[in-house]
Parts: sequence; structure tokens; C-alpha cells
Amino acid sequence: MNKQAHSLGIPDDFIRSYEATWQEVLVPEWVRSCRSESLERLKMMGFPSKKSEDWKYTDLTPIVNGAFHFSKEHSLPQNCCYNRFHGLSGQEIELVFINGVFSKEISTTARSFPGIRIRTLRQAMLENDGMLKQCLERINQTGDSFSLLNQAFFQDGIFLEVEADCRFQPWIHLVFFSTSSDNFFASFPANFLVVGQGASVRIFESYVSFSQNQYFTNSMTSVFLEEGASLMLGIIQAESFHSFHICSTRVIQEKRSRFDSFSFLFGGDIVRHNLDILQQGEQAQSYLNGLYALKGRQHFDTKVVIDHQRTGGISRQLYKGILGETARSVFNGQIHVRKSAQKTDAFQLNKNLLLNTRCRVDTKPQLEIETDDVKCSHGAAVGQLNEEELFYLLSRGISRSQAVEILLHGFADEVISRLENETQREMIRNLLSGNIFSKIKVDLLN
Amino acid sequence: MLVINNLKVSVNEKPILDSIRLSVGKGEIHAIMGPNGSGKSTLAKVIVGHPLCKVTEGSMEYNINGQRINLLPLSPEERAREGIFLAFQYPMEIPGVSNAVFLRAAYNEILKKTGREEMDPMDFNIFIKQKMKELDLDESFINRFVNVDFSGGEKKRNEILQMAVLSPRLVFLDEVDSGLDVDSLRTVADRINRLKTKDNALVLVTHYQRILNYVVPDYVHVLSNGRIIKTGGKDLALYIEENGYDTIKEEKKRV
Repeated sequence: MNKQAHSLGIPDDFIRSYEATWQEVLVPEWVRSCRSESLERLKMMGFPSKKSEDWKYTDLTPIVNGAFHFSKEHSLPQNCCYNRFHGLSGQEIELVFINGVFSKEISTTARSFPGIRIRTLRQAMLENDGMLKQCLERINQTGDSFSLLNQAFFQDGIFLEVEADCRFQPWIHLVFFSTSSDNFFASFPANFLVVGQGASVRIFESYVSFSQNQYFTNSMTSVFLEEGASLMLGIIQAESFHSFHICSTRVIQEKRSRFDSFSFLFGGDIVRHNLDILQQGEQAQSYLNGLYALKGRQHFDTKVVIDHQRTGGISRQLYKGILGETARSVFNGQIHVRKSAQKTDAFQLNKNLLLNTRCRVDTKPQLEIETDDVKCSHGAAVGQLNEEELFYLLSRGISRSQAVEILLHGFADEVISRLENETQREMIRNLLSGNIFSKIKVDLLN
Repeated sequence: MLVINNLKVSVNEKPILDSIRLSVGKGEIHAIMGPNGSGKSTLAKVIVGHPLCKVTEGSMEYNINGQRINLLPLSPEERAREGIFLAFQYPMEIPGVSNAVFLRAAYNEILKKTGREEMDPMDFNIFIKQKMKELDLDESFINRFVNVDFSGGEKKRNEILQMAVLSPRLVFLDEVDSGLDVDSLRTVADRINRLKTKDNALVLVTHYQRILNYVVPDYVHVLSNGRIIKTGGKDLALYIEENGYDTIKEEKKRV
């Protein structure tokens, strides 16, 4: 096949603007060589065009042609009211990044906790950390164009290490703010989470903005779960409706580790959410949940890959979408069960609620099973609000607009109720009511 | 309270009800009886404004607090707020929506309508628990999703709970006894009787007269092929029980 047809070339300007910034940050030689390697591979690979199977529903030209650059603003603007996501973590540990760079002033890390080490990526790079080097080299082996782009130019993020058997209770909240007064600014956060044997930790990543400018976030979180480790990782994406957001999470799971994932996607213009899980050890468990609500001309593309490589792995996927106006969503869920992965138990479900006939959903399950002794199934549904359910609520005097909202919350609840913390559940519900439903509902009321 | 005149109703373009005349007064209990397919459920649904039941002719007037209200232009939610209630034969299951959220939303609409202040979740919780106690309902009812995984009897009792919360003035009960064993039937009937006052009116829509042994009607109407073919007192129900609907249909033909 012709490489040209499947990829978009990389404009020189695109690279040059990032390279300039790259020189400014002091990093050890091995980081430079990792970056250069990624950049070379990215140049070879290019960005995927719509002819590429994994991207066939999503046109990346607005991102590739946008002349993005890193912002020089790394503090919050005056009068900026920032308290929207405080409910998440109980404010115990909250690390805030502004346009990709750590902001000490508004972060909360007052005390140190035994068994856990949290550093910013810049700090860890400066300290020439051997563990970080290993992590970088490990993930450098694979990745699509956007992870390569991130690996070549990441600015900052966290490097988290949880010691063996440390069961860490407080929530860790990472907030990535995009707030620049410029247009076309970019941020490339990168996080590395290493959870030691038998240890456990819970983290939320939030992507938020007060900017109405066009900007581009390309984030990557790499997770390493050692034997018996467990991680709960939530993502709230509430970017501006003028932004491009590409978010990749890559997870390597060892024996009997457990990974719980929640993705709540609300903001952004063109959004791609990648979740890539490698069950490298036996009896690993992955529980993946997602809720996306979109309206206007928003375009969300979710791609989940689970690679079952060893015996007795479990994976569960539940992804639900609510679409209004002319929004469009893509769900592509791949489950690979290797020859060596007998007794795998994998289930995937994608349900979509369309509130307007002009919305579009493409849902594409892909199961590749190389062994016999497995339980593996999937389901997909695309539907509209149930008129009889709506009538039932109306017949009790509930207004049409509130009835619609109640039903949308009911639809979303299957995902939200899986969050163990009531404050978090309440916060997600409020986000849905405030930002999303108010506009989406218009479709049904007219 | 309710005056229906010459009402014709179609569902999906198909005529179902024809020239219905029915008058229900304050404090009365009516029963509408009829075989399957006679149009009983359609009659109940058209009162509450189901979108599939299209009125093609006739009128429905609702008289409340000295006001005469033409029901036809009113939306389902407006009718409910005026105090009209239907206990459904098959109540909808709504996954993800708790009974508490549902009931509070409905109750607050009634409060708003009567110019009272809305109730917050805490106060509502106290209020609803009292109502449930009166109806011998388990407290877990309130946190369960609306009718999801409810037994037949629980669904019916949930309808009665809604009725108790909303205190409607004109109540239609569609096959409220279907799927109930004798004990549940007695309980449900007892609740209904307790909710009956001199200011409200009940219309029981039923195939069998069984429920009428417990909730005794003042008037019984027989519906057949979309028309009310006979009206009588409570004895008419017993007559039907003994002789079947066919006898009445035959009588009607002879007349």
C-alpha cells in the first residue's frame, strides 16, 4: 500500500515551533535521545489520514494544519475562579498544570506521604531518575503518531511511584488547565504511574479550560501495574468546545493486577480518546467505563484496545454516549485474545442515545480470538429516548424538559453509579446537567 | 368532575372509541368493565393525554374548584398538575432513575402549581417515608430504580404510592388488580379505599369484577367495541360475572 495515501505529511512549521521550546528545558542526554528517536519515527510515520483503518471516521487535518505552539503563560489569569473540580479529591493532593507546565502556587502537596513518591516529570528528569528512564524506554517501543508526538515534545506531568504493598487512600487529582490568551497554543502533558507489587492508588485527571481560543491538548499517561497492584484512573475531559483533544492512556498489567478506568468526555471539538491495555501477566483484570455527552458539531472518537496475553484475564467495557444536535461519535473497541490467553473472560458494551436524527454514531467492535477456551462477547446499541418512559414521567406532572433530563441522567447512571465516591458521582452529574444537557435538550423540546 | 361527550378516539388512525358519554361526579366511584380489546385502556389513556390516542371528535371537560377546564388542549403534564392521575396497567420501568428522584420531581410540580415552596431531598425523604409506612411499603422502595425488577404486586403498589404522594382529584386505575394474589389484592384495595375522600373520584377500569368486591362502585359501565353499551349500579358487575359480557351484547342488539 502507498504510504502517502494513509498518512498526512508533517508540516515543518508544526515541528519547528515545538523544537524551539524543547531547547529551553534542561534535560539529560538520554531524554534527548528518546525524544529524537520518537521524532524520527513520527516523521517516518506521518499523521494518519482517513484512509487509515484506525482513523477512518476522524479527519485530523484541522489539527495537523493548525500552527500550534507552546504557550509561555504558566499561571492562572487574574480573576479566574478556579474551584470547579475541587470536590474530586478532597483537596488533599492536587497537582495543577497550566498550559502543560506544573504550577506550584496552586497545587496542594503540603505533606509527604509514606510509601508514595510524586514528582513532576521535569524534576524527575533533572534528577536523572533511572526508573523514569526505564519507563520511557519501555513505552518508546510502540505507539501511534500522537503518542510519538507526545514523546518527542512532552513538557511536564507527573512521575508517580507507589511502593510495594502501599495501599494509598487519598485521591490524587491532576488538573490540566488550558488558559492561554494566545490562539493556537498547545500542551503536551505526560504522566508516568508505576504501582508496585500489591500496592494500590486512585487518581483523577481533569482537563479543563476557561479559554474560548482554539488550542490543542495531546496528553499521554503511561501506567505500569506490578503483580497484584491496582489502580483506579478517572479522566474528566471538559475542554473548551473550540479545542482539539487527544488523550492516550497506555497500561501494562502484570499478574493479578487490577485496572479500573473511568472516562468522562464532555468538551472539545475534535476529540480522540485512546485506551490501550496490555494484560501481560495472568489473571489480570481490567474494568473500563466511559460516558461521553456531545452536542453541536462535536466529534468524539474512542478507541479501546485490550490485549489479553495470559491465562485467566478478565476485561469489562461499558461505554455510553449521549449525542445531540449534529454531533458525531465513534467507538472502536478491540479485544485480542492470544493463543496463550486461555480462560479469558472479556465483555464489551457500547450504548448510544441519539437525540437528533442528524447525529451519527459509528460503533465498531473488533474481536480477534486465537484460542478456544474463552468467554468473549460484545454488544452495541444505538437508540432514541423511549417515548413511553417519557410519557410516564409527564403523566405525573413532570415538565417535559425535566423529564428529558431525568431520563438522560438515568441513561448515564449506569456508568456514573460505578464510581465509589458520592462526591465524584455528584460532580459528574452536575457537569452533565450544567454544561451538556442544557444545550442537548433543546433538540427534544423544539 | 369529568364530563365526556360524544368522544371518538383513534390510535394509529384506527378508530377505537366511539361516541363515549361519561359523567363522573365528585366523591363517586365508577367502574368501567369490558372484555379484552373493548377500548378500556384507550379510554384511560386518552384522559391523561397519551400522544398515541387521538381525539377525532367530541369533548372532555374537567370541573374542579368551580372551574370548567377543556382537557383537549392540555398536555399530559398540565392534566396531571390539575389533579388527573392514571395508575397504569403496565407501569414503565425506568433504569437509572430512583423512585426518590422521580417522586420528588412529580411532587414538587404539584407544590409549584399550588404556589407552595418546593421540597428539598431531606424533607422529601421524611415525607415519603411516612407515606410508605402508611402503605406498608419497604423503605428500600425509595432508592430502587422506578419499577425495575419490581414484582407485579410491587409495581401496582408503587402506582398507589404515587397516587398517595400526589393526592389527585380524578383517578383512573387501569386493571389495578391484574397479577395480584388475593392477599395483595386486599392490601391494594384497602390502600385505595383509604385514599378515597369525598372530594376525589375514582374510575376503576377492569375486566373482572373481583376488585369491585373490595372497592365498591356507585356506577358500572360496560364498554364493548369502543362504546358504552350499558350503565348500572354495582349489581351490574355481579351480573356480568355470572352471565359474561356476551349476554349484555345480545341484549343490546335486541334493543
